[in-house]
Amino acid sequence: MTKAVAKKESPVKDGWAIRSSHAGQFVAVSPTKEAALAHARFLAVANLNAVSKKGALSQAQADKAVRKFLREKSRSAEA
Amino acid sequence: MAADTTNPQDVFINCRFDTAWQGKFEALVFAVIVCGFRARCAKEADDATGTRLEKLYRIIAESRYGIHDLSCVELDAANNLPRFNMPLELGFFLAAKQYGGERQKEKRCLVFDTLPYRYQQFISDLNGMDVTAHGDDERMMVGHVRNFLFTASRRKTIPTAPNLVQSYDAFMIARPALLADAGLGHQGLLFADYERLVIGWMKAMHI
Repeated sequence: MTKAVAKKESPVKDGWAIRSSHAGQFVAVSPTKEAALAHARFLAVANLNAVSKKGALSQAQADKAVRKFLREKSRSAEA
Repeated sequence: MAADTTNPQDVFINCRFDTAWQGKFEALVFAVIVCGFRARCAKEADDATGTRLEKLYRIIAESRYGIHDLSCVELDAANNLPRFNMPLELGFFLAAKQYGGERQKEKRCLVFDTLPYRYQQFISDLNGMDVTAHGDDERMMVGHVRNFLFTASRRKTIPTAPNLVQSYDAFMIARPALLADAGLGHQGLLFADYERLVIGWMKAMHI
């Protein structure tokens, strides 16, 4: 997945570019190395091709359930 | 995929799938996915084509990495007999690595037992292998899986062990509400549904 961690020449000067996929086609660019790593992790998981399996949920429904939980958690924290 | 190739994102999980071990299985799957890999196991082979053994051969052949738990050594309560599936599947994995082509030789595996060195009493042929004790602790399993994948794959995007365990703790707290929001019950949670929830969690949290 990650083939290299290197200073990015462009488009972000003084930033970090990290290739995040198996073929290196996804590149996370961020000002800090930590942020670039986090983004690369996100890209790696978000682009995983799940093995076809029977389930009740689609990925979109699962994403929606997570977002709903986080929204409610955020609301209760504010209250 | 041809049998002489492996997928560098696939991790074969070989453990018991009974209700008592559901939480530990979920912990292993969580760690694998959040580290950026794809969890493969016998549970995905739920279609009616082919034998279970053929599906296992295929999944093992396709997986670059393997996590094998040998801690289930007690007799089954129902029939008072031991379960041999896990050692058998570890044997398939090791044989593929030993006798397979060049790509199969790249296979790496993590072998778990509950206690250190206990395996020497029931599977002494593994003497000399680095068997990892997890103490039946899910958080410890998450950390060990992370360290194994980090070392074996040398990927730099794998989160640190404390971050991963912290995320696992947060996910476990959220799990009941997530299942309710998704309209799923706690019992009989399908592997596919759990996997999708973890991927959704990872995407939302940017661990």
